[in-house]
Amino acid sequence: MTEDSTLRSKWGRSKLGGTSKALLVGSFVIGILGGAAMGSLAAWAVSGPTPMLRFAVFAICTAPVFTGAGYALLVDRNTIMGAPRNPEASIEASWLERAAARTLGDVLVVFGLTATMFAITGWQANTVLLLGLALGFIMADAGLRYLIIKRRGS
Amino acid sequence: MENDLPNRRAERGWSQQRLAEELGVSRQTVISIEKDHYDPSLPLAFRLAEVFGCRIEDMFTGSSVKPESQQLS
Repeated sequence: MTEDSTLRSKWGRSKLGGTSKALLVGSFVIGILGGAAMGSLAAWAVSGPTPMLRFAVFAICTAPVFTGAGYALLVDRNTIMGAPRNPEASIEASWLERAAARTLGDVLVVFGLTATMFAITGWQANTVLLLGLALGFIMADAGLRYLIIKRRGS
Repeated sequence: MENDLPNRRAERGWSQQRLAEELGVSRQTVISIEKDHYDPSLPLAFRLAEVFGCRIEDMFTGSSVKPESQQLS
């Protein structure tokens, strides 16, 4: 039984100790520092007339990602309310594994066909746009695969 | 694989959530095992046997053979 269930909370606690509030503050600090670092990099690396605007846009867009990553890095998952002790034995891990395997198959087919099409037609594309589309496709495909497997399996 | 998990759980008066907490897995995992939609890993099967105080083969069978407790009932 969950002998430690009274110690669990919605957001959990940090591996380093402290309360949920400390964990969230730590995550936000990582987010702000990470966002500021990315903003500074963008302002410094790209030449142009509006470095402060670039800084702000990159910082605002990347800060939430760093905050989430910081939380994932810091949190002790055993202190989160409702988190199973053995997630790897749960069916969700099996769904994720199958979704990842099928996504890999989709990626090979779609990227292979796309590369072939580009080679034949001689199309040129913006690298950043193409990588962004590839990333979006992989995330959407994996999410969709997971939902389909979950629907069939539950 | 078929199993008699719902019967064993009912005998103890446990909810699916309670069993999930005993096993340290999600409630969905228990639901799926009971519906024969998910074959548990070997460590989880051992844990189930430990929780119910029986052998794995008492609880799980191939689809053509009924578990021991279902044959008796």
